[in-house]
Amino acid sequence: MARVHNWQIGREMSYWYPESRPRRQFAAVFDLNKCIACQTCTLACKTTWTSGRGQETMLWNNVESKPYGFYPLGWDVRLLEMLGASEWRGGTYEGRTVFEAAGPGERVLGFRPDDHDYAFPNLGEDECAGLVEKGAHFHGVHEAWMFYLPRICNHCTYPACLASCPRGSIYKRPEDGVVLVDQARCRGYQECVKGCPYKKVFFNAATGTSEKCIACFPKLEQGLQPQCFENCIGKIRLQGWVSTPDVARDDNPVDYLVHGLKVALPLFPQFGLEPNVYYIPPVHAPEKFLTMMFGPGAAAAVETYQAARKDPGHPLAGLLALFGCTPRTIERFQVAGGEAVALTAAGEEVVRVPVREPVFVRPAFDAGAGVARLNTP
Amino acid sequence: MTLDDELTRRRFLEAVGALGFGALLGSAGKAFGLGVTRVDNPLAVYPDRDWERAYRDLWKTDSSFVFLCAPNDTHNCLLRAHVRNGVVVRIGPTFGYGQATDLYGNRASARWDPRCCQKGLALTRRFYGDRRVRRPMIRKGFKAWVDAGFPRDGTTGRPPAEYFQRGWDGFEPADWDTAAEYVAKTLVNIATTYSGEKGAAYLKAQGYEPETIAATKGAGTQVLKFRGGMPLLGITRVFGMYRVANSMALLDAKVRGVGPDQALGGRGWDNYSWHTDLPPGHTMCTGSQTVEWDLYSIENADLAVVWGMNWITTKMPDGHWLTEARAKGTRIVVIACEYSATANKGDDVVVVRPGTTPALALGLSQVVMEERLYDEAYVASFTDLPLLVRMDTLQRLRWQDVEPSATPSPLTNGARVLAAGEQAPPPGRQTEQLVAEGLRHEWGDATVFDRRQGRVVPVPRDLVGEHFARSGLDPALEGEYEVRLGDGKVVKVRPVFQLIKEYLDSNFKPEATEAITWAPAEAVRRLARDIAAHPRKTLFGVGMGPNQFFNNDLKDRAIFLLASLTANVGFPGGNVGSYAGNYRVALFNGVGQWIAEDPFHIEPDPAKPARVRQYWRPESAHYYNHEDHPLKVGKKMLTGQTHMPAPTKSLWFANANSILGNLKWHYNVVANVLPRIEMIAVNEWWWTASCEYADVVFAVDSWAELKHPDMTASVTNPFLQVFPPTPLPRIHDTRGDIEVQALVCEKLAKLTGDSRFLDYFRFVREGRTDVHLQRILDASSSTRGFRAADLIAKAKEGIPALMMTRTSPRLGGYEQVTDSRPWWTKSGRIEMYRDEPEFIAAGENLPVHREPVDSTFYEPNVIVGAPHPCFRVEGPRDYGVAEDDLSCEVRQGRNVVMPWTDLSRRPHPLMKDGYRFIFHTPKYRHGAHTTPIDTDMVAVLFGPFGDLRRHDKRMPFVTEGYVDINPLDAQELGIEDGDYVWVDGDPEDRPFRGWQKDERFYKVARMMCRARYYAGTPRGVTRMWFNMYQATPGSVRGHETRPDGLAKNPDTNYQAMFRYGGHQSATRGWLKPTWMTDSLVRKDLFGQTIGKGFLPDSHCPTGAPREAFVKITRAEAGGLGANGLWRPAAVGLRPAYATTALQAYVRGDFIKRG
Amino acid sequence: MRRLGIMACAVGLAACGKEVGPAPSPTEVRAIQVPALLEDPMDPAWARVPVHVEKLLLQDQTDPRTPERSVESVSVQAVHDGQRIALRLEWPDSTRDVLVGPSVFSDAAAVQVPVAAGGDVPDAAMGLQGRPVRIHMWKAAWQEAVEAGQDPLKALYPNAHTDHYPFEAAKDEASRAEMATRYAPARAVRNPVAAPQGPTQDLWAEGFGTLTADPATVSRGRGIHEAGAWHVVISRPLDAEADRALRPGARTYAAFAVWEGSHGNVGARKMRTGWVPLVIEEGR
Repeated sequence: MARVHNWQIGREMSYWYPESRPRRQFAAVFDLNKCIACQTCTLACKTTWTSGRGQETMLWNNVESKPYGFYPLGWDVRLLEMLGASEWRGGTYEGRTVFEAAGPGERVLGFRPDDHDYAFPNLGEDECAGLVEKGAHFHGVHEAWMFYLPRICNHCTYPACLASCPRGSIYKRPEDGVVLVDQARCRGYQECVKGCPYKKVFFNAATGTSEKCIACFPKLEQGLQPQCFENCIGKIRLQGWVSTPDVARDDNPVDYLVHGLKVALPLFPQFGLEPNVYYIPPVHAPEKFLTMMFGPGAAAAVETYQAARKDPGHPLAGLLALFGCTPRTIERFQVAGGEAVALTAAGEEVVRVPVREPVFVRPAFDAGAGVARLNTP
Repeated sequence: MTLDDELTRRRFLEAVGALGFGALLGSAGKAFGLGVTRVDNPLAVYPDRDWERAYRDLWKTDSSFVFLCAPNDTHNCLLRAHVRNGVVVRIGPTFGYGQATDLYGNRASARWDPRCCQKGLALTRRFYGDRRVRRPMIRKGFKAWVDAGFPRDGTTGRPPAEYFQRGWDGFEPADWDTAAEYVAKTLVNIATTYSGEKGAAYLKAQGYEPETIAATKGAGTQVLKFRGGMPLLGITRVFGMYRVANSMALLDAKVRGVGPDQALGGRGWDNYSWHTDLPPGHTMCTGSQTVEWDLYSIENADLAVVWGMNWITTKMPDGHWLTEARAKGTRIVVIACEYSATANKGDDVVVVRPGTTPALALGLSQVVMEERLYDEAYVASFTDLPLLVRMDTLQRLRWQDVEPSATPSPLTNGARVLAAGEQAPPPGRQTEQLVAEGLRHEWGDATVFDRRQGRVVPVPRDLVGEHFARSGLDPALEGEYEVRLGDGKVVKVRPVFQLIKEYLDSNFKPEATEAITWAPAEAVRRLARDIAAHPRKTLFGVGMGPNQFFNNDLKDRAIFLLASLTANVGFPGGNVGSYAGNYRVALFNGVGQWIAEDPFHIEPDPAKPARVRQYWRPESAHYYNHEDHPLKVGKKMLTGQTHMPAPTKSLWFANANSILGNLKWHYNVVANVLPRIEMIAVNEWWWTASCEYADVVFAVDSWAELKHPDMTASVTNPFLQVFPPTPLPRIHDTRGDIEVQALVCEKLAKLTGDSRFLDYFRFVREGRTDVHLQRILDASSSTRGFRAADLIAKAKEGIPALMMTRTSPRLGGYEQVTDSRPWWTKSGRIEMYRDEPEFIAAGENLPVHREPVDSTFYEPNVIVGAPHPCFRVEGPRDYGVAEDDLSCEVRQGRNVVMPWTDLSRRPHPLMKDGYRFIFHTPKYRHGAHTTPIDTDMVAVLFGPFGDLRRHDKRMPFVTEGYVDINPLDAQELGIEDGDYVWVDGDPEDRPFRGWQKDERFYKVARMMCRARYYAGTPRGVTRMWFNMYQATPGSVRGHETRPDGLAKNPDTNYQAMFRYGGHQSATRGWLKPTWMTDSLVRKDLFGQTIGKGFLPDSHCPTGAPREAFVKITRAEAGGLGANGLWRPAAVGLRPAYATTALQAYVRGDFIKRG
Repeated sequence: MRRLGIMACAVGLAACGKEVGPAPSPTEVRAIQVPALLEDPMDPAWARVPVHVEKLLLQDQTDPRTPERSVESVSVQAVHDGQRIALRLEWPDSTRDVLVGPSVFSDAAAVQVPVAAGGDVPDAAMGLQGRPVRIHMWKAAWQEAVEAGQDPLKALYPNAHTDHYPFEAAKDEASRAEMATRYAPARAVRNPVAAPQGPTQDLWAEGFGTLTADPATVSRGRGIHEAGAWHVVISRPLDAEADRALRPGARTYAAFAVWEGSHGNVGARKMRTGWVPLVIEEGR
């Protein structure tokens, strides 16, 4: 065991291997206020990567309704129960991570789901916490609530799957931080399936190996966002590169949302993996649940988001309007003059959009064509 | 694919699985010993990454092409299909929407991209799936009937029943010529059989009403029904079914030996109104089919009321407009009968009782009126609220009543009177409202009481908007006045505003509204004030939910009242919209060029426009759904003359499972209507329940295989879109819909010897369908100027065009408000009051609240109202039926008024028999109607019961139908989460009339499904999704005999998502008198001409498919093999079964903050 | 009937070590020469071969470890015919686990031999850097797939339904095969576990985490589950080019490992023995 630094829990922690960060780290921001649970991401991934035999129930990307949706069954409830209630003091996590809580003879605290736990991948869809009575009326935070949680591999800085593999068949790419299972060396021990707290490594019974989200690296290598981003019609996703807090820059959209505004937060930071998918929490869900799921910054993130809604000049709306407007990776951005612009790190313009769509008004009569241009023709 | 094909496939897959194509031996491994791989820190260094090529290779494709995906969901997405090894391996967006432009250089932004959805991406599995219709199929019994020379009973003319065992019978493949010949022959035979006096005698002997027989005018072609489902989705290939209907005039000419002047074509069924997408009250208030706004208008609103509309699930590609507007400060109010998916995007959420939307809108209006929050100027200049009503006749006071000599004011403001005999220009060339002289005289001029002059004055129809403001009139909204009529009689008059206010004050104060709708009085006040505080900036997005109730027209009238009071009709940020279906064919208002080209004078020159003459007659399919009868209650015929259906003896449709496989009261139509129909022909590319009951199934191209270009447009986005022809070779022996139409007409030419049948589809046969596209583009006001060739070329790159409407976003009422133009109504104003006799008789001259006709805990279809001078209803006794006759048929025409205090004490008649649940069937994110719903990878995500492994063999498919029920209700009934239950509707006629005498079919028709504990629905309200494949005789046979237990027809591969019955087992076909008047004034579908009475998709029945009042009983345990609890419940990971850990989790107890 | 008797006797040996038949071999595994190699674990001739009973230990040297020991010991017999050596392992196992799936594991056994014998023998745990060990692994699931043609998916999920696999739509058999392989990445990169060629697989190791498949497997294996026990024969060439340690007359070592699928044994989570002297009789 080595000692490594995890900025998300504000302290050092123990990990199976010494700290070694990639040259740049794949990262994503998902705005849960925009997610519509359409599952287009799920199908985009499914039809691209896991249409083979043995991969039928394998969803590298899934969307589940919280609090009663899980894929696989009960993945987070079960781990939280094993980990027990624990505490944040300020920005520091004082409980144990899955590495620190590992039992004797184990590298990571985890469980291996039963085969049946992969059935019902959309269990709990749209189901809310709390009985809805006739005439229920909510505003602000909803008394009965649910929200959608889209999930892919977090391509963690400290992956538990990687730590769990007794033969080191899982590795992190130095060029982009993508975590891969070597399909040539994997022997199907399923230790990674057990170790990953997010349950994003899956066993393929037809090949006898474990497989996981590859962050569409063949696309990343061409400067393109992964399939579940390009196909996201809720336009909730933005893929980029996240820096450590000390070197974060505000014109990098991911850094701006994660480190600048602090509206985008990691999923279950207390697990200790320093996951790299960052979520903008839903503004209508109870603070306590959001804190459990996204850490101590949840309440402030909701406040910031709500305040930005009321502030016409705020760049957040412009940046959110840029999400999904291009298949290419957005490395830099600007919001000015009612427009939002996406750029590459080199400053090349990728796409430019109006923050508010204009209304086009055509002449009532087109003399050239000899017809009226009508809204009710 | 037959069962054999399936076994072959299985063997192949097992080979793939077990041996993995072997031959991998001696792979390039490492030399022994020294060659072992050692990894020290895989965070830092990994020795050999050559294997990564496997995924790079999987990503690679050989080529790609663009096709248009257009189910009936209003979105229409150009998608890019990626091909490898000649197979479409995946599908994605084109990112071409941001490049869409119009003829003036306006350009859409990249915020429109991407456009696609999970259903579209899954289409690969449908193009190649095992339910593809691979070749034409003919039902054995039907073939035998035709081969036997169409034997018929001597007196009734009915074919022997043994030939018509639809659903139980089998099919055989046929080549294209044979299939087309059988259909053509049968059309000729049926038209001949039912022509003339002999035909009429047959129909009489078969029990059809004299009115419907008379409606055929002795032409057998009138009993031939055609339908191109949602034809906007294929302006040539789908709409072509109506062109075929028009060509039936040639057949009539042959059969009856009549000339072009007397020949009658076939009948074409409606679409928008058939699907209950039409909000019928929009026509009543505005004279136009529907008012709506392109969904991205929400960017311009401060407040958006999302009302019974599950926006984020049914408008998925436009969901981001809502969330992005919200991020920019728009307040989202969600009104629903449950905690809907969209509720989780709501800043305010109100959960109301289903079917009470009219009451809620009236309650909100009451607050606005009482607190005087309304916009006086808007009300005075754009609405009928100031107009005077005579208290003696309850009709509007016409100035001509006061001054009989006064001629109606001239129409000069965006309208003009057509001189007697004057031909209106073609629809696409019309620039102003056109009113027949007679009609103009009927209307006369409306009147107001001018407070300044202290007298009644006329309000010329031109006087709207600014024109009214400039008139200096100061109309009274309240009070009662006396006026002396031309005949000297003095009558009392009151403004519409006053009459409505009296009705609202006595019935819909906030507390009363709460009692009826469940919406808390405080929420009603709060919302009413919010709306009034945002004039011109409040958008009402009203969904299909409220529209699928019997009181849907009243709902519209009440919402228009609220929106009119608050100046929220006709503005980019303030408007009313109704969202269900895609329908505005008028965007191509020159489509007559295609669907009504004169078959007797066909234009051979591709460069010239066609000569238009419509021989086919439109008809509402709701009569077919109503046991092929109009609505007659007691001695009263309540279906207007202009609406009168003809008997249905033949039915040929395309692009529509909703007309048979998924229609409301499905099992009754199968059991009691289909036996009276002599031919059912279906064009399909996926074997649906409609195919199960067809006589001939034509195997048509999927969107990916279209070889003829086609066009479509939308009511929710601004795009003019083209279906580009694709390079993908046809996967099976299929043809384009339009080619099938051409082929059948070719056979008719042979049979009749009339070559005009051949010429009618000449350009299609020559592969020049674009000629017809260009003719339509040229003749349509919103598309004139576009070249078909350019649009096709752009579409191939994945780029659509912007429709040339007045504005983008397109919004109804823009011209009225901005240019101060009249609406298409008698008064030129938004009319809340209806003074036609049918409305007065129905007690609906005022916008009132009627209880739902079935989905209510109280006595159904009663008008809520304390005594009011406007109520002068024709009650049951007036129609010769008993006052207390609540049978389903009679109930539809039952006009009874009582105050809520009385009604609330009168329960639904079935309550005493254990029927206690409102059962509603909304649409959902995993389907567009039934289109992609049974695609495995989509289906498995359809709700909580998806399991591709089918651990429980009882599952009909990899997912299954389920009913959402409040846990407390379920527990009371001893139903566990995940159990199988029976759901039964009114036993009087559901699942089908006469079920007691037909055990065999009752087993197929009675609904069994899973029950899900659903905390999001209030007690007493249950929900089941609408988009599913229901059980058929074949699927039940499969379920009970196949080793894998799939509810899949072993002969046809039809795959049901229910073991037994389906979501339409409890619904019914309903007809409401006010949908069927001869007097309502409205704009034509195409162009600006104003007429009255029946108009398909505008003034026409809609049915009430969301309504059902059911009993739910436990059938089987949910656990594997019917033992114990369904697993997720058993392990405590379900609400109501939650382990302490899950309870702590939901509370967020697993973390503390120091 | 007779076969059963012998089997019972063999198990008896494992149990108490004093029974009829040849004297047990308490200290070593003695590979006696036979005219014809015994590759059928149920061959009655095994009854005449001395049995060595070795206690099974938990794999407790590296994480992840084996939580609990479900089998006490393994009985080992060995014969050779001058060309190949056959080792017969027998251990009680009440469940026949021949499938691999999500959280479903197969029974298995392995024989490990040092490449270099004598003082150079590394620790019994997977060898050491520069001092490799050779491993011959038998897996019930591989045997089932190759010999019984078992399709794991059909066996795991008899009622499953899938509408379509992309490779099904390809026009000809060849491109169907090519596509199917592409959609199975582990096969596409020829991972030997993805397409078993026989019941056994030959591997190398030079310490924990270094297990590496031999491009060519020369061992053969056969396992039979009967009356609550596995009877497995693994045979391999003597005097093989890869590791000369095993040849007639040699005194070397072997270690054995057993995996019980039903107990979640897989990979490092196994029961193993230390080095056991292996005596290969000189041909008489």
